[in-house]
Amino acid sequence: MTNTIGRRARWTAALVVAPGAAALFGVSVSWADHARPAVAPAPAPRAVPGASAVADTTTASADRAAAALRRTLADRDRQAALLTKQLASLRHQLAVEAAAAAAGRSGSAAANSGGSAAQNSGTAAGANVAPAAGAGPAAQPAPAPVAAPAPPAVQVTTRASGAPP
Amino acid sequence: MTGPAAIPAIGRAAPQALPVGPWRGSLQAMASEVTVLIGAGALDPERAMELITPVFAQVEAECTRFDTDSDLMRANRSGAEWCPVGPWCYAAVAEAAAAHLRTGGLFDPRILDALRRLGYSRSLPFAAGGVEVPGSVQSAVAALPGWAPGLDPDGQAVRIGPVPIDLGGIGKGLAVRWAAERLAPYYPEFVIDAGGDCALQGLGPDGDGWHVGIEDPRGGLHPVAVLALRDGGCTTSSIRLRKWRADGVPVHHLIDPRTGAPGGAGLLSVTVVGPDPADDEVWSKVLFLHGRDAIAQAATDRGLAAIWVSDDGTVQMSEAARPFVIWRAAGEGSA
Repeated sequence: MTNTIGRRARWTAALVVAPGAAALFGVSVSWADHARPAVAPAPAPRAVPGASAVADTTTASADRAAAALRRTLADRDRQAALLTKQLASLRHQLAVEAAAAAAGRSGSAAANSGGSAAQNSGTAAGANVAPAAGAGPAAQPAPAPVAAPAPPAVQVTTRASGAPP
Repeated sequence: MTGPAAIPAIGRAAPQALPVGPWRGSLQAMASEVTVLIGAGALDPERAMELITPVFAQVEAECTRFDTDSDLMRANRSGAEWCPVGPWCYAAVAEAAAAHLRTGGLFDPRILDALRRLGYSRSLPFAAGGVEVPGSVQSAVAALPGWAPGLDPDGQAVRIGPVPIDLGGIGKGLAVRWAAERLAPYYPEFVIDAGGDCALQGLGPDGDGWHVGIEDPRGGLHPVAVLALRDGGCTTSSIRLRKWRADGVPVHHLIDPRTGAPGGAGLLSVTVVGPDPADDEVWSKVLFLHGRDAIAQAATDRGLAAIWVSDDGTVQMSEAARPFVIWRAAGEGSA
């Protein structure tokens, strides 16, 4: 009888202790899991609306701005080249007209026949001839023609009605 | 380090730095390609086409002579009777009448019969060249008295008179003028180029004016001159394209109302620079009719800025035109 009672008491104790030990083991394991922050993977950053978009936009905008600045620089270079050409053209034209004027003063220029209009005959100096008012008759040989530089770039052309641009 | 606050500033700055040229658009109207340039940086340049397309469409619809139902042709058929017309046709007839007076009758839209006699009674394929039509170049034409059409602004009606008129040239110049008036409030920099008739506003891409080439009427690749223009217009009257053979005789479309025959002996083209494209159109035509021997004096007498090309290739200009010319071809007119 005593043995029976003792056996029952041990079983009762075992039934009480075992779950408690299991619970303690579970708590311990759980604690151990949470007690290793140094090696645990970093938590994902909390999502901040727009933060990654801002970062992307920053880079993209900077790239676009840099590209735009490069294009600006290239365009300025082209404009500078164009202005240089125009300057050369104007200098050339000035020289031609000066030569024509000098030739006119010395009586060696071909005369115009067009009243008060300036005539570009192609046989007068560079075909850039001063106004014809008061010009004398064509009595002297004309200076050799001077080739004009290429025409500057134009935005539009005035032309015969119906002609394609 | 660039913070987020700096991002919008970069975003705003970049477009201003973009080196874009003029925006370009085009449309077909009045047997020509109309080209529109809007200065770089303008907001919503595409809207320019929405603004001007109706102008060209309506002017063409009301003023064409190739549609028997157009307002112009109805008015022509009405002759001495009053005929209600659309606002564009009314304005064009009024402008043509004023130009007739201003030019002492040398601008005269009553050349429609002459064009028909020469076989130009329908749209002809000039671009292909070699146009030959039956026609009569021998018909004598009695000098017409001055033209004074009836204009009723209240009823928006016109009375053309017994001789039909053609508004082709001045109609296009007016369309360009009216289109420019529509663009001006929105765009500080623009060009409208309608087959020879140009309106320009602003300083152009390089700040020295819009560069306008004058076509070589002999068909050369390069212009005979280049103009720098701003805030005004220019127009070219040329026989490079609209010429044909009527009964084997070479003729063109610029009719001298004094003779009823093609005029402008010895000239291929005349370009006039002035403040208004419609006026420039009138004067380029009138100067052309003077012919090679008289055009210089005519341009000088009227203080017109004109550049003309003779049939021997010579290029001449009036004194008033010289400030606009930034380049001219060498060797023009050489044998």
